[in-house]
Amino acid sequence: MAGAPPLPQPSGLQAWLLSSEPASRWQARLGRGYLGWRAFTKNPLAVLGLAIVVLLILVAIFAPLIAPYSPVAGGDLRTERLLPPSETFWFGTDDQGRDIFSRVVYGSRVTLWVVVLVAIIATPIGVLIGTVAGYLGGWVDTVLMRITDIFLAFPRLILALAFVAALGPGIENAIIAISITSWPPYARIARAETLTVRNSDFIAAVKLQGASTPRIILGHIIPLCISSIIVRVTLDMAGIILTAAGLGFLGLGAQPPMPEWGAMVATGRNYLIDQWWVAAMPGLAIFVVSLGFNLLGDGLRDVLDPKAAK
Amino acid sequence: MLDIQNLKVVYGTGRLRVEAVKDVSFHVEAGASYGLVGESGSGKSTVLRAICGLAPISAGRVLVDGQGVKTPRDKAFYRTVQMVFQDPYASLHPRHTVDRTLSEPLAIHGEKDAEARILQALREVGLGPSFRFRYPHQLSGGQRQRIAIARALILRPKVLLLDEPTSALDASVQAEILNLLDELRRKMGLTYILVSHDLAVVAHLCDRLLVMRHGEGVEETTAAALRSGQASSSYTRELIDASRGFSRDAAKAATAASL
Amino acid sequence: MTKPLLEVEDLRVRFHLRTGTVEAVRGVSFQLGRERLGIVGESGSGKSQTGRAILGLTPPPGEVTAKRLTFDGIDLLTASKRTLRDLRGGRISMVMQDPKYSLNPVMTIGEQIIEAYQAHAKSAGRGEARDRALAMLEAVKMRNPERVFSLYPHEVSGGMGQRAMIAMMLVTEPDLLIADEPTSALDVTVSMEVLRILDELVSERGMSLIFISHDLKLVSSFCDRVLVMYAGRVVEELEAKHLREAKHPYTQGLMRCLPTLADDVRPLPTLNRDPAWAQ
Repeated sequence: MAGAPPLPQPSGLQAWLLSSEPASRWQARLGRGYLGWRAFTKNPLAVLGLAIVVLLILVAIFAPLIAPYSPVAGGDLRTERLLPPSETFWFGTDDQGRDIFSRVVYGSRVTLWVVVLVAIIATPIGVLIGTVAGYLGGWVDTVLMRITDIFLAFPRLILALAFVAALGPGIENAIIAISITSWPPYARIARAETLTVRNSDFIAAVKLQGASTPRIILGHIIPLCISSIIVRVTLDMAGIILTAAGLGFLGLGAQPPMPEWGAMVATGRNYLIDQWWVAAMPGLAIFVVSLGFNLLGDGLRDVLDPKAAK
Repeated sequence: MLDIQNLKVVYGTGRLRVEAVKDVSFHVEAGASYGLVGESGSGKSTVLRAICGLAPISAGRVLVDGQGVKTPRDKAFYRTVQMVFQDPYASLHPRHTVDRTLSEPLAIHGEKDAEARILQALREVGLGPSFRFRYPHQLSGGQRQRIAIARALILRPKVLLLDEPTSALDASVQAEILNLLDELRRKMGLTYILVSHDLAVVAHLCDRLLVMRHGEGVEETTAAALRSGQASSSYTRELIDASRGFSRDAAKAATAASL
Repeated sequence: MTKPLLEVEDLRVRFHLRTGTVEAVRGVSFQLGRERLGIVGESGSGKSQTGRAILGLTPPPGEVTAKRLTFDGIDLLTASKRTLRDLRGGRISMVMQDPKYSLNPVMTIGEQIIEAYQAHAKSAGRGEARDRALAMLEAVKMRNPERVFSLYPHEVSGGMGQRAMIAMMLVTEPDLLIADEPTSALDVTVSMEVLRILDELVSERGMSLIFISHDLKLVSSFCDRVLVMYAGRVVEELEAKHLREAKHPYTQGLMRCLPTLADDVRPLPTLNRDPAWAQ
């Protein structure tokens, strides 16, 4: 731009990060990250979402230090069953005399475990299928997209149920089942992004250098899809938590005595009228974490995808 | 060095069939600079894309250094022929630093000594090492185009295809880039094929040129002839007149002529 | 001298961004009578933002301030939204660069011209609006106005689209036309045609014209007076016919750096940007 000068310059670390002449790869990357962070923190709801997610991670890591009681050892069935929230049992006790607060705390580990594994399994599958389909086009595109359509046609919970029923109940199988049903939207997004950039000059330029198709897809196309995928995965996390909880509720996910929040809601179902805390506390945990991921996802989208921002 | 014989490029089939290039032939000697001039829809950019394999050759031949080109093009071709695109805002990957953009061709062709060559490439296009780790959005239009030129030249090709390299740039920046291209051609003994809609730019950089219209060559002429206002085809004459800019007397004459 | 149509004094346009505040226009002042004024500059000079500020079309987060910004005595800075709406398209019109982006793609050309007419001639019926639209299409030398009337923007060429845009903007017989790079997206032969039409219409209707462009040569052959902008300021103001006697080094540099068919200057003289110009 022919010299319209901006006003005051920052100093110190800020200046190093915002420098328009980075001296190394890392300085350049960190600088971009810093600008993204500043944009992100302008949105208080996004920061709230991030705080909730960070809290989830911290609670999961420090569960043994936070939980006052064991999550699986039952208490005295005569005196400690179904006690309401009090000073000794912050969230009350369930029908086995177990402290609900401790179970919710340890349950955060299960939730985090599910969410991270599903993201790690489903995302690469979806992104690879989508980018390959979008870039190569032709029959490869048709075949891959029809496969994607088939998986998309089933409601997630039903398909997960079918897989778990086939593979047997258990948290690992639940994770596999949810992953298998989660990748199709990522494939669609990746394909859409690929189609937009496939004919760009910069892709033509690297083709003209003799780049192979894998190099183009991995090094040039996937970096452009990452933003949309990150946003989508984050927004999906709430749904994944709910699906895992749903499977747990139906007895097909985590098996007792594992403190999975969905399963805890299921047991609380029988005591809903008089001992509401047995179901409500894990339910509240599900609600808060899902909300956190949704807010975080919205915040990321505003930063990473300026077109969708308000 | 470069021979185009009866080139024809057709896109699409059936109702959507478009003959972007109908029948174009020309010959460029090594070290020469050849221009393709025309307005939008003339097919001039398509000729360049057909040469480097981005557009299909439906009929005719393209010969580089006496050899017909293979489809798909091989690595040896890409070491001989490179291209600079029109839009400096679109020809650099938005998420790659300059360093990555320049090191990629070297990595693809297994060239060692990337560090030294990247710094040399930056020097050749008049940019210092401070530009090495910038992202495209931190560069001006002229700087991006210099990077694009550096990228094209880093493999030391013999032929450079230039697709309207200065149309998207400001006038003052255009002058700098044209001077750079001129200097590089003389220093490195490159062969240029320059596509432009601007007669003055083509006359400045090229010795010979082909005027194109609707996918066909209309007239092959020289920069010298253009400067002296000679043209055998009325279309070329029209282009020369239009390049002189708006003039109220010419407008009145044109209106009078059309009545 | 008769009262000027447009008075601009110390116009400033600022954008408050995440990374700081950018001043796109830094104190531009000029007066416009019944004449043609060209505003020339490169990208980032602030010329387009000046045009948009006059119309009140500065995009948010832009902020427009000025000591004086009046059109025919009406203060544009304090005018109500309603007054501004009546002025825009009615007494001040703007033709933009690319008809691909400035014409509504889902309305036919005729409908758009009718809409423009009816927005300002509130009592006009559809029949009258249609007649006016067809008359305008003929005035911009469309070979078959009836046919073009019912075409969509994507069905016409760039040159025809731009002529349609001109028709749409002139149907209300404005006092001032602001043309922002009206021919930059067009082929050279087509743009000559469009300029001829614009020239005729502006002369016939006695309109004032502000012609914004990066093309110094074009602007000086089309307009009476030229303002040269650099980094948000006006660095030179001169009569078009005295362009060769330009005093400011930026203007001189701009004129000399372009290659022409007439001379063969090698290497092309380049502009040495003196930071003093941006002060």
